[in-house]
Amino acid sequence: MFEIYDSIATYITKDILNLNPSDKLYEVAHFFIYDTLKIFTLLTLIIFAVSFIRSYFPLEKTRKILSKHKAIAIPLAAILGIFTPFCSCSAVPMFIGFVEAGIPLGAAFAFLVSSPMVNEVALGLLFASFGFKIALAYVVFGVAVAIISGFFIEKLNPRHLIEDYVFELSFGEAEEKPMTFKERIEFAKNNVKDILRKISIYIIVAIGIGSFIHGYVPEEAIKSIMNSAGFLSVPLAVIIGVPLYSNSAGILPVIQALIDKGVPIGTALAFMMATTALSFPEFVILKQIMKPKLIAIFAGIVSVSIIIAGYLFNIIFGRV
Amino acid sequence: MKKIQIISASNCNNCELLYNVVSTIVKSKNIPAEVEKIIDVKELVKYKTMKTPVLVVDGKVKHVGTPIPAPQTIEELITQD
Repeated sequence: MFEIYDSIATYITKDILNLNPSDKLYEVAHFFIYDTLKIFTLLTLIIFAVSFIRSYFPLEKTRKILSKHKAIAIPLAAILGIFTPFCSCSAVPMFIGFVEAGIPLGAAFAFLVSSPMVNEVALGLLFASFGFKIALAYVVFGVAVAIISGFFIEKLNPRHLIEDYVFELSFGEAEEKPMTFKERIEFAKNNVKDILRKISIYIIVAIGIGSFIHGYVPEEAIKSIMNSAGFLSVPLAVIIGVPLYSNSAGILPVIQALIDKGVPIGTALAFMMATTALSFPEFVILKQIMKPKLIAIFAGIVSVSIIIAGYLFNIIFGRV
Repeated sequence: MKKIQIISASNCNNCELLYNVVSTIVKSKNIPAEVEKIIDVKELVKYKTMKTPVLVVDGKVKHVGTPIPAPQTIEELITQD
């Protein structure tokens, strides 16, 4: 499928840049060009497809569905999170709207985990770097982490840790006029442009670093680091990933290069989940509606679930 | 004099972007309008939407949520009646 990119990369490195194919630099440049073309093509296609599907599930519709199925609201919220577009700056109104509709708090939290975590960028990058199976596994584990987190928070019943005004405001029933097919295409197109504008620079730099690792860092060096830190690599990836803003998920190509050199893949997945599900800017937003204690509990539960998911992933996919 | 409001629940990149684009358009096209950014969920609630940011011109909702439309579309949204 990507032979054409291979030819383009070869043409540029060999015929235009005049590099010698037996050189390390040739290998690095070739890898960089090939990877850039491949990742951006797949990312564009996947962001477009996911955005198009998401245009069918606006937040209002998801709220309506959840309010009708309160008994299974937590798993349902985790699943609908995949299909509902969501930006963390809408977290406050989402919370108020869900509470108003009588949706359990655990379901609101499950949604808050899965919607940003299982997003078009993460899926696009994972698919481009590791293929369909890994991207699918990410979705399944992401939903599982959201359900577990939602379930535990529901058990804690943190009503007293949420600001009172959340329970007093009311959005009412919004009249949502359905989008036309053309509007959906337009929505998906705009989303592709919007996201690529925000993350391209991160991804290109990451591919650059990845290419360098690919060409110059010896496998033995990574292996010896992994042998000493191997088991701890998953929690380490989560600790590094949590404070980072979700745009930083763009650094996945660096991680891919490390995985090619022997870092276990669950580590990459855990990192991706941690950057997308939790971030400092999001904590600041959540502070408007909940006490810091609840944010800490939430971050703790989600982080632990992600670490467990990372380990399970390493076990299933063979390399610990 | 038009009144253009950008309303959101939290200050985030998208709201900032919309505010900047609107301000630039108003300035460069000499549109007689006052541009205002409101970060208050209590204000947002009035427009019955959970999606942010909301673009309101003279009390009428013109756009809701992300992605933010292209500058050309935004110009149409704030100039048409």
